[in-house]
Amino acid sequence: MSRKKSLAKAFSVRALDQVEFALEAGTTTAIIGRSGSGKSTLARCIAGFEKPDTGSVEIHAKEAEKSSRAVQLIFQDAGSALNPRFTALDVVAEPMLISGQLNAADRKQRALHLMAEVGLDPESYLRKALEFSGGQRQRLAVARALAANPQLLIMDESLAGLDLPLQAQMLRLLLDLQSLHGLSYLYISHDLNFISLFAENVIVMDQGRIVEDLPVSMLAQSSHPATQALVAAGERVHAAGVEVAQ
Amino acid sequence: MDSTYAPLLRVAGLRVAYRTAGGARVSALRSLDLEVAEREVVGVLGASGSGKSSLTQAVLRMLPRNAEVEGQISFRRQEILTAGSRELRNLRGGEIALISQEPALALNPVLSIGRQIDDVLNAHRSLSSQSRKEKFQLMLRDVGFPDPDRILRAYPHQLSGGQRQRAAIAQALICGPSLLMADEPLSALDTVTQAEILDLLTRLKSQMNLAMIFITHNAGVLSALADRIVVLRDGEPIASGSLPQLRLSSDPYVRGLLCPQENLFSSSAKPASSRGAGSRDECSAQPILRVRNLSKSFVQKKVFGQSVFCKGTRPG
Repeated sequence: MSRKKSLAKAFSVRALDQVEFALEAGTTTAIIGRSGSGKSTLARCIAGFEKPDTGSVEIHAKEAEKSSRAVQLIFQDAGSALNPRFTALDVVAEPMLISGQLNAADRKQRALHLMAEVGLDPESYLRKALEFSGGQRQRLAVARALAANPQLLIMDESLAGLDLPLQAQMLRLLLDLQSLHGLSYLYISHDLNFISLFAENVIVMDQGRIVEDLPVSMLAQSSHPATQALVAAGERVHAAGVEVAQ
Repeated sequence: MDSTYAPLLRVAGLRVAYRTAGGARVSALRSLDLEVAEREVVGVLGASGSGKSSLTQAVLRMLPRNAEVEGQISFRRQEILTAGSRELRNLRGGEIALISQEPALALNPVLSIGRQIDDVLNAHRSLSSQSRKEKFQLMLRDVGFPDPDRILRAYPHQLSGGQRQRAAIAQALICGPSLLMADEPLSALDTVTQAEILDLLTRLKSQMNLAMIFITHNAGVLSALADRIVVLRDGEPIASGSLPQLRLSSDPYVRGLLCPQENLFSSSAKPASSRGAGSRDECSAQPILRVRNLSKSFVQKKVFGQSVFCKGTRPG
């Protein structure tokens, strides 16, 4: 440790700074902020990929580590991160295989059911992950996440690689799955488009801090400069109605 | 039409297809006609896989080897598809410039920004080092760098995504081209940076009398910039006009691009604001997730003058 210090000048960057919030079961909170505002570090801490310096993450009032399967994280471009040699069935069934709760026949049956739920043709279960289109691969990633029986899905810029019509279709699917399974969502994005149609609450992050936590309907009236910058930029780059439909 | 009239760029009956390793033929563009006048901005709007990027690559003759091209592309009456390498060199970067989605890939990681811009200028203009330097300073200030000298010495990885895109724009425009092709230039940037780059391109368009082909899947960015929009589907133009004209379209594909939020509504779905109340009562007090006093630091080190992030709490 001392040797490292002697080699390089080190100074600390606070990625997260005393972040506090709660998410009600069955609801969606969007976490928005510019690149580098700490959104992904927060997602990784909640999913248990990153150990926070201080503070706690509780899922259903239990320490997060003990209920890690209840939380599933879907990354940006998750579709391309799927093992290209896996068939659709392998992709969706693997979390069940790892948890070891079902036999092969039940795993297959549930995987096909999940494929149908996310709008994929269950008949295509033997196709390789790579043979699906970008939007379909994203659906596979959602089916795979659902296979772990999560209660909370964290989507970290999960839709950023898709074009806008596909993003809207995916959000439509996620809304349906939410009412079907009572899922809770943390939806992380730098972009406000569709947010008013998808989330109940919005948390705005800036330089590692939560600067606002408010109902989505209040977003446009915010007086915080970080929020205003995001709202103004959304209005500039999106067609009317896409960004903050009131 | 006046018989002497010639558009800046004329694309006629352009077809592009790719031969796959298995011998199959995948069509990317089928019979595309497109004209761009001097100083005109044409937006090309399409979903993923609609053939948008094949267009820019065909115009610059930069399609991969397995591509088959038919049709005509002329720039100021000069035929591009049959042009020799010398004419092509003059066109590329000199008359027609390209900026792409990911400037990190467009810029060479081992050369300073200054060197890369200099390479473009050297290839097209013979200038003294003093006037080159003045041109750099001016161009970099134009794309919004208040301290050009620092940027000229910087390497791409030392810049943020937005700064890299500004540098790529400076490189594209340093020779004063007449046509800028922008292929999804905002997609890799956060929204606030997107708005800044969009403002920058809008300003440079008037300042430098640029014609543009602006390729995107987001109709919103075209609203203030484009004079005309062409909608591509499966390699074919299926509609064109101004944004307000296209908004009247009843074609589901066009509507999906112009009003993607409509895809979010259906019989069972309601906006979140009206869904909220019911579900909130049912699962009132107990939150599923509670985050308390969460802090996380990363150690940033300078190694060879470059920032490196490491895990903060456990060195080693």
